[in-house]
Amino acid sequence: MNSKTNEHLPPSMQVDKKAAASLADLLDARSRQYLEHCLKTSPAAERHTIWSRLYAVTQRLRLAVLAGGQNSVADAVIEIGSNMIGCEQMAVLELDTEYEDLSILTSVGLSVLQRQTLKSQARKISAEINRGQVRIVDHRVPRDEFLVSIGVTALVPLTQARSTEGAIVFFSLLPQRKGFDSRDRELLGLLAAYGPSLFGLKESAVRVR
Amino acid sequence: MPAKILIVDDSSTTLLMEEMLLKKYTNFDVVQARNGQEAIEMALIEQPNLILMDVIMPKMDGFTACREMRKREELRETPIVLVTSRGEPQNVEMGFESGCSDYLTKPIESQELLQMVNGYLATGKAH
Repeated sequence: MNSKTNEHLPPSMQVDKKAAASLADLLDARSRQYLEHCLKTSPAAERHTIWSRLYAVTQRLRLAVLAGGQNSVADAVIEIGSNMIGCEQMAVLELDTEYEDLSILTSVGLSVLQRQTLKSQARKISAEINRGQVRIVDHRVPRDEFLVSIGVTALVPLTQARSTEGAIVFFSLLPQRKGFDSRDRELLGLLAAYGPSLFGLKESAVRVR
Repeated sequence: MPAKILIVDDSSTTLLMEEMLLKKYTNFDVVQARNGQEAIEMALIEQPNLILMDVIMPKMDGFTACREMRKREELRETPIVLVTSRGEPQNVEMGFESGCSDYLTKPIESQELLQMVNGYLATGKAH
């Protein structure tokens, strides 16, 4: 896997342990549900692979939460993208309050051009993120034209209480992947559902003096 | 005594998925390592019947670990399946040159992994 880049995650933040434990419990419960579904399904069925991946991803996110805070979560998301989706060019973006600029919270495998594009097209990208929907980009769909033009293949907005705070942005998939499919959609949905809480752990963080 | 499988990956997510599949759908024992160096040490101690190993890992990659294992008398015949996101033909070729027995690309499919494992451990390919 390409080396990842944590852009500006403060290392000296201490996560609210109670909030983290509560989120970890939630992920554990969800994970056990996925495992139950999995065990009721034949491994030959496509759904089995989906449940298995969702099980592993929720367990991985749980471990990241217990390990403490944004850096662990960012590492986990990048690892999930690489191993469960087959994408080694991705970024976690944070929108500013005015939605006119964005910053790269963490990334992996981005080219200089991709990084420049994220900055120079911040306003338009923010507008796309702000639609608040998980998007698997389709070059045949007119409304995806802009995302196609900058090489984005999928977009997971991180929305909490109707406020979009960031996004996970996927670029090129590995050569063996022809494109995102229905199996990926559920995984992206899971990241969209839990992402804001996972990255939001910083909101209840206390700076270590 | 049940057969033993060594799974090697620096990705916790992959290890979680592989461990779940192997524990729930086979009777094999599962042991883990996080990089190539650890895999060699673990393999010499545990003498697994099958090794599932990632390629890109810290400290020592899967190709190097595979070559090193093939130099050891105890591991020369142990089936090694490289499980990796690098599915390009040149990487597959490098895998076989390093001495692996098979190649599986990520993202892992439940059925594909289980068939591969059962294929090695049920047909006597494993020693």
